[in-house]
Amino acid sequence: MFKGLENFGVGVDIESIDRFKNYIKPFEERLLNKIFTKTELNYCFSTDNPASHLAVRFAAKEAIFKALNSIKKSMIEYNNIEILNDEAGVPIVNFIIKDLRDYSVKLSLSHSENNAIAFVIIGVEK
Amino acid sequence: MNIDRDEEIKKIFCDVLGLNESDVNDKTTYNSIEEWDSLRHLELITKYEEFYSLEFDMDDIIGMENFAKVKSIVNKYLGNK
Repeated sequence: MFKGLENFGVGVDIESIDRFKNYIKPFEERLLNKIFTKTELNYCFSTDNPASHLAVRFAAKEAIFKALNSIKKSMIEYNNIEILNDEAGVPIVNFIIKDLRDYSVKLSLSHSENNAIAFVIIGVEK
Repeated sequence: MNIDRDEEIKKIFCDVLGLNESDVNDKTTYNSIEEWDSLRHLELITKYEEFYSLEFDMDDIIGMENFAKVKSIVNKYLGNK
């Protein structure tokens, strides 16, 4: 392994957008609140296609878990990870818990009509 | 062990995952069957929480890696309810 790569984790995930079409508030509020933050939910349900925005954020969180797992970091609650967009629309990650705030994350999201995909690189200074 | 409760836990498990009860046993394992992926796992957790009015810790949510452990962990939370 190249020197320094042990401090980096990568993860990828793909989700079917259709599965998220069932998650219409308030019927699935408990499940939605377990996965997403209030800010994420407000954003997703303000769009014309909430399912695709929910799916791609869920994919991002799954990809982050895989990246964290690859550097032996234990799993955290889904709603302790927040996927936001910066002013230019670039997706960024906000870790709610202090434990992960020293981690740097690069995130790329995409979706087609049916699927949402996320790719993540996580780095930590040791 | 409460057989009726275990049957109830199994019925909820099968309803959420869309499985026949005859296809599920203690060795049925997370991610070993197409129906039991991470999103469905969260649906399952939520269904148990709503049905039994409880809330699982993250370690226990992760710990439900096969059906035997699902029963064990749900029963642990239910205690003498």
